[in-house]
Amino acid sequence: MDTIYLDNNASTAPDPLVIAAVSEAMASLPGNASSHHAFGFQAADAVERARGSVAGLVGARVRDVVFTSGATEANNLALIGLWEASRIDSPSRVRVLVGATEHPAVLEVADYLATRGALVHRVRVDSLGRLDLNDLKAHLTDDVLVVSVMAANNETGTLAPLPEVSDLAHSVGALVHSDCTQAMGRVSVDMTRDGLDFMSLSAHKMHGPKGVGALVVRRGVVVFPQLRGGGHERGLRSGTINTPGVVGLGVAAELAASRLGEAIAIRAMTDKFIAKLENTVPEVELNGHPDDRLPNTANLRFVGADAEAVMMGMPQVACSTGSACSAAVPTPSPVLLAMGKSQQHAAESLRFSLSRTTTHEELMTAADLVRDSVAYVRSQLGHEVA
Amino acid sequence: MPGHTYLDHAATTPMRPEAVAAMLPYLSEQFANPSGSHRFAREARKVVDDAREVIANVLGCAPGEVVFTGSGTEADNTAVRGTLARRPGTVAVCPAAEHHAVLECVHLTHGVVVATTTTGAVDLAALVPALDEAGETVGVVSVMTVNNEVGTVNDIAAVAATVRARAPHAVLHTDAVQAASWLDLRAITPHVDLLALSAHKFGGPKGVGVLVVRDGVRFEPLLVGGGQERERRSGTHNVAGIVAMAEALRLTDIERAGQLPRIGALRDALVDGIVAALPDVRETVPRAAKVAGSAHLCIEGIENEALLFLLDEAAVCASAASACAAGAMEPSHVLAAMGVPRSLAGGALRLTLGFTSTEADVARGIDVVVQSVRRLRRAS
Repeated sequence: MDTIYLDNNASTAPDPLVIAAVSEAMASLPGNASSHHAFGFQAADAVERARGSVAGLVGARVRDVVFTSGATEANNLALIGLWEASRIDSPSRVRVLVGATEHPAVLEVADYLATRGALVHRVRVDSLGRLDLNDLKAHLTDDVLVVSVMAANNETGTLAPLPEVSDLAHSVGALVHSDCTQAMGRVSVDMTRDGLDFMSLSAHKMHGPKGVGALVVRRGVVVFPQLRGGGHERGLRSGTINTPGVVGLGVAAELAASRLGEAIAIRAMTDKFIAKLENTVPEVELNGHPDDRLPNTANLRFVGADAEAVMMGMPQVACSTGSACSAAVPTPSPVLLAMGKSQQHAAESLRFSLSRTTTHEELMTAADLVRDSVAYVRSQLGHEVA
Repeated sequence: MPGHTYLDHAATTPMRPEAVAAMLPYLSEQFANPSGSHRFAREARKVVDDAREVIANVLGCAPGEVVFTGSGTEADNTAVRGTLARRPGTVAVCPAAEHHAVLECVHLTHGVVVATTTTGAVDLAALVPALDEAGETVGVVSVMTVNNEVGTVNDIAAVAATVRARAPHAVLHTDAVQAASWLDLRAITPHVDLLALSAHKFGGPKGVGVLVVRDGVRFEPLLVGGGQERERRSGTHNVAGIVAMAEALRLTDIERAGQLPRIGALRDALVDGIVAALPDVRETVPRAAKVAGSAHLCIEGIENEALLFLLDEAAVCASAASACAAGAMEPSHVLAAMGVPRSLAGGALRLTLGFTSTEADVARGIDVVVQSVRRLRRAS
């Protein structure tokens, strides 16, 4: 039986148009985009076109786009680079506020900054994963350097009220960074409307290739480079440009911008999937916000059914128990714990994430497989359904 | 591109068709994130680990010592700055002809830059007193295996013997980004603690590299958050790029013994042809000190910016120095380190060959370089 792939928040299938563009670039653009000859100029032209596509997707200026190896690098560059630059420009701003349910690529960077002297606060979220704006306000003093809040949570899909966050942060002169990795192509992000000073994104979460992403930095925001030597990307990010990867990101960005309208249909499918499970499986709980959520994400708790065991009982269904990072040792989701859920609740939660290629038929099949696996696990563990 | 003569393999190589073929399945249907826990993810993880084994075999190290990065630059940055971050209060030491990816990190951290010889090789007579003077504070020594501009090979075994004797606690890193096509890396790896590779210099894709971390060598990661690569490099694995890199390196390693004499003969013909037709052209480094694919000339009486413009017009791809964004049209720090006078360095031309190079490339290269230089000299 074919795998039913419901792990699109971990990675998405590259679009056929992306694959074609990357393959074409590997063949026809062999040069180094920094070289001063025809091969180099042609590669550089393709890179600049892709830069325009990414800028268009997020409402930025073309020159604001800095290509990186992915969102992890972009988040590292954004926050460490800003911290280093600000030690000279605004040394009195020593506070860094990050959402409590940020991706490790933000949380661990914040922890690192704490070792360099930053005073880090993790802004609370409520039981639906929504950023607690009162907690944010309470910690927004005029020595806050930056507030980093993800546009959409990778595990629950809960969306952040970015315009409100930005207004609050800007009112004390703090900058706003957003890890928009999961939002790209799923909900609209506009740096001006949302008040973002800089944002991170990754190609492989929006049907582009792995190994490429971007940090988009509004003019006037100074970050120190983290990769040095060569002076690529206006000195902000050294290293030979991954031309085929960047071309793939550009095509993915164009497609994402043109397909935002599909979110409605994907949302309907996700809702149907949830409804079917709620109708066929007792004691199911939705994690995350019921409405302000990514259209493709359903994070569900099956009371009394260990999530790892449920996954093992349905090997055809590719889903996840948390984020897809170095999950060699299964640990309860820190995101759900930050939302006030118990260890047991977290250990009984599974994330299903759809994409535009998910079909109704496979989704309904998956719901049946989940139902059966949950029932089996519950019977094995002796869980009596109330 | 058809009709072009590509003599810039040190900037980047075309991809090997086998590497493209190897990566396509992972660019399309097998796209899972290897960090997941479902079957699809486990398959991707196995593919990454298979690639790790292939690369370890070519390098002569254990698979667990291979850390995948996003580039050679990232690997070099991690090696130098990551080591220093782990060892507060220590400094980095490198020769003046290192690639910017090492040199800038050493400058940034107020390290020690030592002299090179006139061929651009590290000068052990300068390295020894530098290590002695810095003493216990030497945290990392970084010496490139092959110079990217002039092609000079450093004797890494001799460097290692010196470093181990004079700075026994120091970590030894080598930027081997330019080496894979020309040298058996199994003879390099055993001497060092850290080693950087970049896939696009040996027929692999751009956007992926390797940092070899010998067992027991500790550094602070440059990218955090996610904990991939056993906490040594966070970020979703570029599965397709990693697979393609392994295939390119495997083939490079297999074909090396056959390619070296072929490419060496092409390089000799190229240099001999130009030198025979033009007066006042100097080979910057004796061929015996260089890798087989590298030609570097200092041409008197011309400016290389004008020469490269004419070469490009005639569809010949070459370079003046490295292909880095800032450095391409600036005076070469490598030539300065070698003591080449600025007047002569202004006429520097780097022609680098590789696995796709042909006799026709050489003939065309000689013809266009000679004609272009004559034209520029007449005009001046």
